[in-house]
Amino acid sequence: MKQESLSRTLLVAISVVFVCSLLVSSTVSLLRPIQNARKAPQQLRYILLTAGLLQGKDNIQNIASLLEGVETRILDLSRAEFVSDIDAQGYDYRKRFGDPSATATIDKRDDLAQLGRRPNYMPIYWIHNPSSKAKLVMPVYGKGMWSMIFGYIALEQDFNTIAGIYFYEQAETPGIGDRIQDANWLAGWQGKRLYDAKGSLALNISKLLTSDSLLAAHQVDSISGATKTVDGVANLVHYWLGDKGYRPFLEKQRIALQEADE
Amino acid sequence: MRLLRYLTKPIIDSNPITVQILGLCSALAVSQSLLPALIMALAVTCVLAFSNFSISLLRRWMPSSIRLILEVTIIASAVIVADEIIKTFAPDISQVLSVFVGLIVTNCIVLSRAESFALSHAPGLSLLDGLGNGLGYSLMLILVATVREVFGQGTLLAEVILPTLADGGWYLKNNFMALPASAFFILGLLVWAIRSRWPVSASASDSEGDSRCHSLE
Repeated sequence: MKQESLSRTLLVAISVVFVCSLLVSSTVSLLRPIQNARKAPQQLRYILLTAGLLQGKDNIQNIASLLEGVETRILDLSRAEFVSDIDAQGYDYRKRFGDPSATATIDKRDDLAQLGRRPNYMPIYWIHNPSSKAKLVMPVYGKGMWSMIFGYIALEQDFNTIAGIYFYEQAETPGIGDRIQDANWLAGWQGKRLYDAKGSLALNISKLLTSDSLLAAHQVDSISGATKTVDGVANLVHYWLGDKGYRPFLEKQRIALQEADE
Repeated sequence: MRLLRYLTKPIIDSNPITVQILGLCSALAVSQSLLPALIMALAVTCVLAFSNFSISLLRRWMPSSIRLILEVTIIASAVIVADEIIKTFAPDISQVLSVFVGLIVTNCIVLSRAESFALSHAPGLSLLDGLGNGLGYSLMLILVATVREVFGQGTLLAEVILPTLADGGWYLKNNFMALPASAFFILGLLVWAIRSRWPVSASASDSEGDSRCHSLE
């Protein structure tokens, strides 16, 4: 065969391309599983962020090791108990919104967050990391001024003190309402208490901060100009941490904790 | 020893960046700090060595009508493999390097070594030449990145060298060093320094190297 003949040209072209494609595809199929395992899902990142575990060391190796300390459980909201027959890792509550059999209607009077319906099951994330203040992280969402606001709230060991809060999705007014994602404002939630000594949900967002230390423990600074968005945030926190949300579950945990102490 | 010349000559005497003025695009883009530059340098060196070697292996088989297409196919495959490896084992740095690893395909150094060297030399020599040119590129990239990171951020490989004012030190960061244009000036100074220390004309050294290679074959 001459070097420039058509058959020779085709033969060389096809074999070079074949070997190259083999090289590329085998590399990719060999490495893809490692890449996927290292790519921590975005939601888990937000959970770590809410728990305050991601400050300044937001690299992927670090996230993978932190995620080993996170346990996902599925909570049946109406029974306030964990269920074990649902795959916790694969459960996405936001995919259940359109499914009537997987959601329940919220009574008009209780529907502070303007949700209409809520999923029957919500994921709860236990943080087993011993150095973490946050003990568990729970998803929260509700209507702001323009949009649904999605986020997480993290509580400390006492199931009352807020360890952190984070909103990862919103479409509020840019520059005003979207300041609910501002790290400094969110940091103001840390250490605030949800329930007062009498057991009522006392947490509030206020334009005027009180000097009374008892009340201040439940008070979060408002954002000027973003009243409606902030009201939405307050409402969604009140709905989800209230009697129709996680509160019955939190009560059970607190009682179990007290019994364990005695 | 004579074989080693193929490896060492491109490092200073016929350095692809300072003498042949090739591959500047990526040298400007990824030299902001040292760690990404090191990874980039490693990737270019591996791709160069691999492409030079395999193109040299195929040089008697490749019909000249599709020669360039085949060369680019081989180079592109090597680049994809390198990119995937970086994405897997250094995902954070892969984000910094972003598109520039993929753009090694269009790095003039790689194709120029394939065309001007690998096509006319034995695989072993081509491998050495590829490695040598990769090291030459790496050397310049590392020098530029070191200067830019130290004066632009006050750090080297994230270790503090010059404590900056922002962190309570005394050094005011040179923001110009954070811009790609600064690499131009550093490279210009490097070219000037190296050429006045080793005044070898590129064309002369190349033809000298070529005659030697033919005798070896």
